[in-house]
Amino acid sequence: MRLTAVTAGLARDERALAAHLRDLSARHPDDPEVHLLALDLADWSDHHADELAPWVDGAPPSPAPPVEPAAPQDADPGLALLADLRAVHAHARDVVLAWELVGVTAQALHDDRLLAVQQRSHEDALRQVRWLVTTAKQAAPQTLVT
Amino acid sequence: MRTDRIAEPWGTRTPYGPGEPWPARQDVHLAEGLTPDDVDRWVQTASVLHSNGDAYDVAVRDGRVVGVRGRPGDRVNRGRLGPKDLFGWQATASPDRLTTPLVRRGGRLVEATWGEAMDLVVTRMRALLEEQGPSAIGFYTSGQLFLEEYYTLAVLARGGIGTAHLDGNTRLCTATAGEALKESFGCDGQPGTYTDVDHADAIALYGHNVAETQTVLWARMLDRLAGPDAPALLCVDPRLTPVARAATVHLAPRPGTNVALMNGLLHGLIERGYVDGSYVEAHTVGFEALERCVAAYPVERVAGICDVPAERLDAAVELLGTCERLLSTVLQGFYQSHQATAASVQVNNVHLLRGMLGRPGCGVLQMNGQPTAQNTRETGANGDLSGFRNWANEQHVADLARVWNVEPSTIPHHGPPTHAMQMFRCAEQGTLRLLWISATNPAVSLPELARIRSILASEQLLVVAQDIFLTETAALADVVLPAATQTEKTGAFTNADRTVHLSEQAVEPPGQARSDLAIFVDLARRLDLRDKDGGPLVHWETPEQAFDAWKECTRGRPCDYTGLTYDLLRGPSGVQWPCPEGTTVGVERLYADGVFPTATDECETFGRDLVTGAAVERPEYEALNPAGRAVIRAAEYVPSREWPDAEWPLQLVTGRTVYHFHTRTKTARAPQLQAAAPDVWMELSPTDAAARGIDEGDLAEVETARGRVRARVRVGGVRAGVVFVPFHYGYWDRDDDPEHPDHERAANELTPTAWDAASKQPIFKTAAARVRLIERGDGRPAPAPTTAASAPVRPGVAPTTGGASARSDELLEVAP
Repeated sequence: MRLTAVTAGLARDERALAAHLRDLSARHPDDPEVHLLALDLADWSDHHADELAPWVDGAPPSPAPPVEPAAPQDADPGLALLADLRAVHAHARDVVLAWELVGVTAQALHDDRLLAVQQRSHEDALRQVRWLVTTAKQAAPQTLVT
Repeated sequence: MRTDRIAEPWGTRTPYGPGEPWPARQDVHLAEGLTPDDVDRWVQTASVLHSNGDAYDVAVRDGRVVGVRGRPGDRVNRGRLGPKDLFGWQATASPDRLTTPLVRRGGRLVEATWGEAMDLVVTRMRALLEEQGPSAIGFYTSGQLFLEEYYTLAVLARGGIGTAHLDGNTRLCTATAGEALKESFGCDGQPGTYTDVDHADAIALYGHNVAETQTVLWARMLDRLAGPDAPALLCVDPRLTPVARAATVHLAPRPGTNVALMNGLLHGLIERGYVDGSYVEAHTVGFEALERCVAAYPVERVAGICDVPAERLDAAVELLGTCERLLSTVLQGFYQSHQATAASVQVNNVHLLRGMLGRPGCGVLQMNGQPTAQNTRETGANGDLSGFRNWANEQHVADLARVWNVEPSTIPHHGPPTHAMQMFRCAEQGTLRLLWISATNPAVSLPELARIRSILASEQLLVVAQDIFLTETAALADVVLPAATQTEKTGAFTNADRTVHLSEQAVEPPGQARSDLAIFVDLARRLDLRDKDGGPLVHWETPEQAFDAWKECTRGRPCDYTGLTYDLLRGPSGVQWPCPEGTTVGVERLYADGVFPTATDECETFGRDLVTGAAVERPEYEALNPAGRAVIRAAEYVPSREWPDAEWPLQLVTGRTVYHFHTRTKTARAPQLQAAAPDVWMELSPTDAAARGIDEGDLAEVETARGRVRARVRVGGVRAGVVFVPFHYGYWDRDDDPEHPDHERAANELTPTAWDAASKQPIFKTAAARVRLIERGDGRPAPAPTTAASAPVRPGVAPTTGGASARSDELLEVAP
């Protein structure tokens, strides 16, 4: 079944999103909200990847790919934050869509266990996206008018 | 009867039974040697050194305040006063009051005229507005001014200058109260009232050491406990407070685990069938999500997370589940802890599940920390729009613009108003370049003080400090404006149970000091702020005119003041809002009909994700469609990022004592209060003290990743694994070189720059710390009071007393 291609890819994507969020945290230690919450949200993504394990048969544990910084470290910290948030947001949106694909497939397969995992994780992924949107919108005006 | 009110902060008992009126007791304290016959006149006011809103009169003789007496007819205190009100008034006449403006020249603050000081600030403001716009200017105000002053500030900042940067130090004390009320009920405003104490058969206090923070409210509870059919008491607090000692069930959870605890209690209530299904069905949305969420919190798991015995959790569930009239109160133990809003909202959920709102004895009090914090929130001098309007609702913004006669686009509403911690972040980054601070002392009260000091001292930031003393903050400012205080000006303010009191000017301010209202009106004039028709934006001068302007802003809003007048507030009692035009008594309990202001066009917020703080957007809120029903919001427990480990094995909790308020600006200048708690201390449990070879009175150092504090140790009733440090003590009254203080006294040297995701309230009660012995004591105990939560566990410490100068009258036979 080709579902495992999607679930294995999604597990990998969640690990990568976790790494991306941790990188976001590390790059912005002086913005406490970003610094601390990005770590919590990274844990969510790792948990989602763990939950997918039964549907990723035989796939090797996926190492997190290296994260490409969205902006050079020496850029204006306000602008760098906005650029980083946008990059993570694009990543997280993609994960949301992948969970939606898993959801409709789980429904088609009548796989209730997968559907339960999907529902929890999809909701979490949406919450991650909303946090990124809120944080970016909050930071933008002060950064961009000055 | 004469009572030493330092030794007995709550005074003499006047027991009463359920449903009976609370007996009056008039507390009086006059300056040494004076009797009531010596008093020229009595002028009414209410408490400004805590949030209870106790009504009293000040005695005036020869143009000076010489004492106080409680107002027996008032619904809040029935004549009683706490130690801070009995003695705190003496600070007003201190010789070191600020009496003239100061400006920084050549690195030093020197005297200036009002014209010079205001010109300097206004010139800079104009230049910044020209160069960068309103985002360069911020205002950080207080929970201690009057309603008229906050409202004037909100109008000039948001409607005139058009800055999003206006917040109060209420961010530190009641931001979570406001957010929790908005999340559950659609709007700020306490559902309950203090008179619920008179009717309740169970009172649950969550992180609320009421015995020290609101002594008169605790006296009311003590009088119920001493009377027939006393209520059961549930106390959630990691310290052995007077409330904990009196409690039927005391839970002392590990700091930072309040959400796990609350989810466990809710789990128990649902599992055992203690849910009022018909109330939940008719008056709430969101129950199923809560049920799913708390299913993961069975008692055994919660007992492990919180380190609380499972049988005590069971007992708490039984207490909450079987009572018939439940009053709950919440304060800093929840608000200043990890996951503040999420935990406080779960208290609201207990009441929604049990259908216990809007009836006598059935209420929630999300308490306030400061005397006039309610007004900071109502007027929008915090991160809200005036009159509980929703910044994300275009109609609300347009309505506010109509009241102010400005274009809606003038009022910044592109995002949530900037919260205080973010303002300091903007200043740190250099995008906020003028910060006007009124009646608050961030150099002692904000977390991570080394960082705050460096921001305030920065060359790129112009700091204006408007205060009554040269506080640690004012000492770092570029312009200092001398203000009048409480008895030197007139205005109204509102307490945690929505009772509005009037405070009238009794004496003249010292020197050139001016009321905060006069200062703000002057600023609006000098900036020539206009409405859209060219008229003055701030079109008032006197307090009563400002009050009338505020009334118009509240017309038809949940906090409707239009029925109130200064004349009505002259007594005999304060009046609660809402009090719409044509009424004179106010509404005692909100939501008696089970209808909540949650309709999309009515609510004050669309809400936030309680865990991430992400904004709920309007379409999502519309999908939830509460339409008059309360919103049950669930939240999972997330462990704090700062957790004890081998290097930092303890958890630091900061807090208060009954004898001091905030950073002691006033209370340290009242001799009886200062003598009762003269210096900083730290509290350790007997286990943690013994493990470090520390005894009562030894000098120790508590350290976190941010800094260190040295203090004498009180071996006390705090739970093992926790070190407690009171946050009141700064540096202005230290003996050492004031130019080079050691910065090892203020508790906020230790606290992290971190805040609750939803309410943006800083976290003062969950930091990883370590403690070591510095020097053996000389046998003298720590300078900690013995009367309340800091009582020693072992005998041999002399009790805290006030002696002759603390004796005050308690009149038990008094006509209201």
